[in-house]
Amino acid sequence: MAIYFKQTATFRQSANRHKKILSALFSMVFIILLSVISHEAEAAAITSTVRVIHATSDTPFMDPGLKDLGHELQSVFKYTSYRLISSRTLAMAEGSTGRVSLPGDRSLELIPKGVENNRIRFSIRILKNDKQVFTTEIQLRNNSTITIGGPDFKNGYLLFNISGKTK
Amino acid sequence: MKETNRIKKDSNESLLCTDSGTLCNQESCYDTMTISSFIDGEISPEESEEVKNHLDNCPVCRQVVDHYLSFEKALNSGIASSFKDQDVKILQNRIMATHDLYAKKGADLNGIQNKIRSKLHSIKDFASSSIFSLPKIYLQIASLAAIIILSITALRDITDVNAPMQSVMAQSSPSAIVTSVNGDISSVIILETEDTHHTIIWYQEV
Repeated sequence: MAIYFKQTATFRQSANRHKKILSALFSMVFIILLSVISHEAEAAAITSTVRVIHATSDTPFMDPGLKDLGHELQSVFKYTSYRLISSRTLAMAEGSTGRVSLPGDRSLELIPKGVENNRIRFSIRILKNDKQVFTTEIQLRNNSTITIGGPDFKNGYLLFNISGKTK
Repeated sequence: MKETNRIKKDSNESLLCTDSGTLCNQESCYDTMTISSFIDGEISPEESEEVKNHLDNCPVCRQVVDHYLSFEKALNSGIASSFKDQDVKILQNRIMATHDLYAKKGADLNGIQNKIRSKLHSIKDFASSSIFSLPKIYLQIASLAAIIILSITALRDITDVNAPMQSVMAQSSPSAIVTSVNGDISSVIILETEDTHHTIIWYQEV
């Protein structure tokens, strides 16, 4: 009888030890998964700035707000004047849509679709009078910009400089 | 006299050339440089005649010609007036160079992916070969935890190891890779600046 009780007690002790180890391991896995999920959620935050530029052949002028871009634009385009009409920064989650109003009843929609190999995949739509006129899919290098241009506006053309940044 | 270059490919590779079902062997097709020279009138009249005859029967080469012609048309339309005096060839070269960069980049990225895969495989091998004396369930859970921890560490390591390479690639690759362009547009040009490889898309609304 005494042996039976001893065996039961040993079995209980062993079961308790197993339970403790099991719960410790489960806690560890849970914490790791939680940190992975929170890390991914953090990585999904994408910041984008859309600068709307008016390029014309007027008196030579370079807007101070376009210091970083002026040389690039002048190396390609014939225009002499570059004015910054507006600048807007959007903080977006993956899959969400950022909207920016543009001159001439136009608007720009920006959808970040994911990050891969240090490049942010964007879907960009330009609408005129709510009708889609231009769409493109790009893979923008992190911390870089792309310029989209072409629509004519007030004796010149509109350029949209779009930047993308993610952690 | 410049010699025309035919594409040398496996003779087994053949394409349907005409609606009547005639097979066009790619061996007889011209490379893009020859087609470009043909469009620019830079080949001899005899060679030009030869290319013309080939184009009558080869939709593959005809498609390349159409592509070049549409590109030239776009440049000669109002779109060109926005750019500085750069001839068609400079822009073509830039676009071709961009394509080459994408191809090189793709190859490098495949290398990175393979490294990640091999690291993960070695991690899995390590986990499965461990000789823990714990009961099976603990071993499985511990293995899972180890795989997760080591995977995160390995991925971070790989990112760090390749950081200088990515930095070099970043400097020479375009700021944006344009994968598609669509819309109510009459023409579009995609180019990148020489200094910083800043990508520019210029389109003309209908």
